[in-house]
Amino acid sequence: MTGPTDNLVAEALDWVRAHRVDRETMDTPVTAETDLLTVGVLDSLGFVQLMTFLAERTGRTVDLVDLDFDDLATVRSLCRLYTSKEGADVG
Amino acid sequence: MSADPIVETYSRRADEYAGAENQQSCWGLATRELWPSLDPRPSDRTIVDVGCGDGSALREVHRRAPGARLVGVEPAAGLRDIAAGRIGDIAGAGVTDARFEDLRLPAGSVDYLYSLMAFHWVSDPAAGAAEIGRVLAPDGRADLFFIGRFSGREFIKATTPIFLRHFGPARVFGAARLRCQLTREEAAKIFTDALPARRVTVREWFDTRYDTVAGHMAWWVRIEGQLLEFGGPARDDCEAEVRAAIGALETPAGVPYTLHLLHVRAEPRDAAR
Repeated sequence: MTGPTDNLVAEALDWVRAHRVDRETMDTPVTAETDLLTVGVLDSLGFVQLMTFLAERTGRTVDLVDLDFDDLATVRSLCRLYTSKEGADVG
Repeated sequence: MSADPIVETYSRRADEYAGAENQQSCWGLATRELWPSLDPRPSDRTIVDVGCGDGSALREVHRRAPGARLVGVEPAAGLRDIAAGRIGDIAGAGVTDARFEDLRLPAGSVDYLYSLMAFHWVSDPAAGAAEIGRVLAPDGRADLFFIGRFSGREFIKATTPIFLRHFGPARVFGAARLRCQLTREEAAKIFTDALPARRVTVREWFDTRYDTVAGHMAWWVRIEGQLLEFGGPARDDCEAEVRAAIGALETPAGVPYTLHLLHVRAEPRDAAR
């Protein structure tokens, strides 16, 4: 049975695959565990847009000031921010 | 005109922008190589350069359309001063404190409007496009050349993790929002919607330039660093890491930086192709 994070991860992966900016590695598959920064799948604007998408899907917001570098590492780590009981505010 | 961090940075660094080092950078060379693509005509009465910087393109346009009244639009005071000095001997030419969203020109008064490597700094691209439509004469033309969504991938991929570690997501992502980063499709929609009575074409291309680490750092990191509004030892540490990361990109031809360029052309629908 999939949980709320898994559902959001699937939607987020679809978004990332449609909006990735790494023309030079476009054939590299993106998974929930792909290191987004090291591979360069998203740039700063891409992260902002992804977080806007996640906020719209969940009705919750995450303050950038509260983010750690590790929170941005993968699609799964980002989605956890929006489905965990702590941290995110209901928008 | 109210200050914003981009304008303030360009104003403060105006002398470096106009200097030989920047003019020989990939930015300076790429901009100058666009001059032959400009379309000033001897029959033009008013020609406007939006984001005219140090005014060097205006002198080239004057050579090709010597009878036209030239208007340079530049919100950065330091660059305005340099541009005014550069075109001060041209009758009727002037540089105004205005911007894409508020050009401060009469409606329908411009025969030819162009912009070189500036529109990506616009705050509201739809408002900027609409304002261009407002000031163009019924048979007026416009050419805008600017940086697109996928520019500088080599540097961004190598340095974003460094900036994030040193400054955190809030600062880095906040800086990313200061720049307008359009895909070709987004640019086409914005300008087609804003200029429905004109023929609008948008083309894109990628142009890889090579330079030394020092050559790239002379301009790129200064802008990026200023956007982060951070100083002191922490910034020095970050800059050292950035310099090393850019150096690691080096090839026999130099350090590559690929520009993603967009060209928006607006003209009357019945203009000859």
